[in-house]
Amino acid sequence: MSDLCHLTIAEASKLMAQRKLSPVELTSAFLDRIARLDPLLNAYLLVLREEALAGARAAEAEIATGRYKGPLHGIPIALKDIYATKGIRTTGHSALLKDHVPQEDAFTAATLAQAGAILLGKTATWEFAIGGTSFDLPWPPARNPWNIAHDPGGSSSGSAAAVASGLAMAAMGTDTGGSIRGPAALCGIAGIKPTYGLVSRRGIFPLSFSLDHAGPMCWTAEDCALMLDVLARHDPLDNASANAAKPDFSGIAMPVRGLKIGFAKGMTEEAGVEPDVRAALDDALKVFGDLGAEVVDVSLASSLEYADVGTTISRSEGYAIHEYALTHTPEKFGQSFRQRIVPGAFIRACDYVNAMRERTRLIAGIADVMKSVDLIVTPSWVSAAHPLGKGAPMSRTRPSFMRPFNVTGSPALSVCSGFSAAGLPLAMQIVGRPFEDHLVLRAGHAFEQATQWRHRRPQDPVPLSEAAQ
Amino acid sequence: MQDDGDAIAELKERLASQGLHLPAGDLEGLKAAILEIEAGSVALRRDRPFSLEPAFALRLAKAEKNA
Repeated sequence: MSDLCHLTIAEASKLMAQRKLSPVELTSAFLDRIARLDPLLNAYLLVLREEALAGARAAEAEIATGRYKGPLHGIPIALKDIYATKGIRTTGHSALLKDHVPQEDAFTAATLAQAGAILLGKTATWEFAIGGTSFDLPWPPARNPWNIAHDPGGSSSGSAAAVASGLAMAAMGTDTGGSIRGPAALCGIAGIKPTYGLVSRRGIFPLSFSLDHAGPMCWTAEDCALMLDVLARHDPLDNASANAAKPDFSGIAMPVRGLKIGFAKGMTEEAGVEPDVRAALDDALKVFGDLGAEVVDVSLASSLEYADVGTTISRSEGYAIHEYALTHTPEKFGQSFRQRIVPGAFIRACDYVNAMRERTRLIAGIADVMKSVDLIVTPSWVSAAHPLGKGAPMSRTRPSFMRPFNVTGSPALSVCSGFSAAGLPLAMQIVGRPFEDHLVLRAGHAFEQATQWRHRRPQDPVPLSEAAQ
Repeated sequence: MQDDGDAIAELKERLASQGLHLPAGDLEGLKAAILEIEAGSVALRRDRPFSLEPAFALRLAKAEKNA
């Protein structure tokens, strides 16, 4: 039955449309696997067994009577637990909202339900999408399926762990400074931060209004395209939602021959990535070259400039969101959350404005670079996953390849680009022009098709005490 | 040079002035985090002309038109 849990959405949906795969059978396989493995992975905060089975039965009846809704119909998915779900507990992985039951679905949750997706449950996150890997919250942190002694990254930690371990076919994440792409990278899956404004954030607990993005995390870039094709809709009640033409994701399988890909060489070298990350990236660039793309070096601003802008904005906006609760019930937050958000109390309005002005300059800078290339490639992360909770502390000078594209709003995808000597995933990031998410996914898909990395899955986890023997 | 005890006491005062009364165990890590944020803010305080703003306004107008 576990083999069903390693189908991609593209594979499962074809079988489903031909009535060769039953949504009930598929959903049951995932629920059984979650019951067996999630106690070791902590990917889920809440599993909706009965609701999921009821949804699967309804999908089965609809498909059987010719009412097939499309590629997500009957597909088991999960939502990061900052997505509001009507009548279903939504906690932000925080004691503050431990018993919170929303009255309405997030726009995206409703959209996925309308497309026929089956909600398996709500996944672990860093507290309110920023708190870090924490052990002082009501639920434990998610673990990395490739080695449960290691960190899955965050903040969409449970979503990445669920997809990587075959506990969901897709999961939704959010990304304010890398929270989709980081855990996707460390868990060896595909995750896209779409163009700012492409996917509604309404009903998702905010962290930073002008930097927050919602997006899918899947095993493949192709599956991300199937998800985004449904998710990319104008929402007049999210004031950042773009009323623009939707990217056309139908050309995902088109070749990359003729595309011009810029390698952010300076930024990569400035960051001092681990040798295995750099080697995997060099191999990936060669793959693109072999596929007929032209690879050239491009120069971007220093990641420190993006860090100062992104952090000043995100902490200011984050503190504005959480000030009331922090001043009234600080004990309901974990320590890591408090230490990351409270500095926002000391940012002056003038500095926030300066950050917004500098952001404009950085956006213009990326737009200039992208006049000469179609895509930009960087590593996703400087290394493979570190031991759980032992990552380098957040630091202004710690390089991030992901944060720049929250600042600019560009679409950015992380795909697996190989494995470390210890068997942990490595990843690269592919960045495009605004609203060219389809091109980003096309390049990711071409790379996945040309390499063997999508054929490797993590072994089912065993307790650490057994693994040590 | 301000010693650590003074720095923590000052931080507690700054927090209290914002209505923040946090556990003592937070303060050391918070001090470092605030210094980092402030370093970033200082780096952004470069003197730069406001000539970028019309370009920004133009882009916004274009985006609204497209919308």
